[in-house]
Amino acid sequence: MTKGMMKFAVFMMADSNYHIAGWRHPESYADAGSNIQRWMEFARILERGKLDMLFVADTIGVPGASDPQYLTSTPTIDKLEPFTLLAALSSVTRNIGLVATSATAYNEPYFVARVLASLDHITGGRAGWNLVTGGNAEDAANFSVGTMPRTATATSAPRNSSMWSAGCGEASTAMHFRATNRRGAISIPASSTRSTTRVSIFR
Amino acid sequence: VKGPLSASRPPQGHPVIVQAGTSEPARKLSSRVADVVFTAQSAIEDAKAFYADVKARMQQHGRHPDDMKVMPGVAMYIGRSQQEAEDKFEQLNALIPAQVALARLGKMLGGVDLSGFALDEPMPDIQGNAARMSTPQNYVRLARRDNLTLRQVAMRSAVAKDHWALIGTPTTIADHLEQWFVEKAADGFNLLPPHVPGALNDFVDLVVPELQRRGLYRTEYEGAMLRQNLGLPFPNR
Repeated sequence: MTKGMMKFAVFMMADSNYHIAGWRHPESYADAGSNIQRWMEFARILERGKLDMLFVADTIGVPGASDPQYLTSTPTIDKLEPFTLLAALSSVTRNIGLVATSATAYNEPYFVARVLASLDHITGGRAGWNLVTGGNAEDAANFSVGTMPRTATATSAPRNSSMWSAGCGEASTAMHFRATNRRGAISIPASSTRSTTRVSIFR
Repeated sequence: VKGPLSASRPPQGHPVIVQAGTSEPARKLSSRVADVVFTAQSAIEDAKAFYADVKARMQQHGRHPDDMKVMPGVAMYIGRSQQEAEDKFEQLNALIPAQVALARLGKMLGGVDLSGFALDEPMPDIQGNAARMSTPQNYVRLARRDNLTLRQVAMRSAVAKDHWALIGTPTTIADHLEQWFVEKAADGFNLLPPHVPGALNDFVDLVVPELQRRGLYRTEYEGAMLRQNLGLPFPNR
C-alpha cells in the first residue's frame, strides 16, 4: 500500500551535483551538464532504485554571470533546458516521474500549461512542474519585462489548473477526438471555450 | 488567456505540482495548490513544525493532509563504514577553495556581498531580501545553533547549502530517515546527490535495500503514472 511508504525525489542540477566540488570528484563527468547520454545513465540508476521522481532544478540565466571567479568554480553555465531534457529521458524510462522547473515570471501561463500538458502526454502521465517565480537578477536581465515581484506571479498556478481542466473539458476528450474524426468533424466540448483566465501581470 | 488549450486533457488530469520554500507566501501557496512541497529543515523539530503547519493549512482549504507530500532535502555521504562515509565527505571538501565557498553562500543569500565580513567571526545577522525570503534566516538559525563562524557556514553551505546532511552507513542513515518519517517530519525526501553518478549508485545500492528490508520503501512501482506512485488523487476537473 502506497500510503505507508516513503517517497523519494532526486534533485538534479545543471552541473548534476549538490556539493560545489562534486563535479571535481574523480568519478564525476566533466560534461554532465549538456550530455544527454549522462542524463540517461542517471535516470536509469534512479529507476533501478524505484525512486519516485527525477527533478530538474533550473535557473533561466547564468547564476553569478557577473562574477568570473564564481563561474570558473562551478559548471552551472552549461545546462540543458528542462522540458526538452525530460522529453528525451521519457523515452528511456518507464515509471519514474519527470519534474521540470519553469518560472512563472518569464513564461506566460498559456505557454507553461501547454508544455506541461505536452510533457504529461509524452511521458504517459509522469510529468511534474516545479513552480518557481524567478526572482534572480541574472534571469531578469534576459527579459524585456525586467525584475518581477515574486508573489505577483505565483497566482498563475491555479490559473494553469483551470486551463488543463477547461481547455478540453472531460477526461474523455482524447477518445472523443478519435470518434469524431471518422465523421470528418471534431466536436469541441462547450466547456473548452467557456473559461477566460485572467492572471494579474499578464493580459 | 481567452482561448482553449491546444491539447487534450493530460493523462494525470493535472501534472504534479511541486513547490519549494518555507516562507509565509510559499506556505499559503503550497497548502492550497501543491502536490509536493520541498523544504529545507535541518533539525527534526523545525521539520515537524513545518509539516504540522502546512498540513493544517491544507484542511482549511478543504484538502486531505495526505494529498500533499512534504519532502525535506537531504544530502547524503554514504559509506559501508562510518569511516568510509567521512572519508568521502572530506575527499570532496578538500576540493573547495574558501573564497569559492564564500561566493556561493552570498549567492544563496540572494546576492549578498560577504567580502566585507571577517571569515573567522560568528556568522553576521543577514535579513531576507526580495530574492530569498526564508534562506537567510535558515542560515542564521543554523549558525546560532551550531555556533558557527562565517567561514564554517560558508563551508557548510558549499557542502549542503542550508539543507540537512547525513554522513553514515546505510543503517544509520535509514535510522534518521525512518525517524523523520515516523514522527511526521516528512512524507519522503528530496535527495541532494553531492556527486553523480557515484552518490546515486550509493543510495540505490546501499540505502534503498535497507529501507525495503524495513518495509519503508516499495520494491515495485505501484503504477505507470506519477500520481499513482506518490499516492495522490487525480483531479476531477
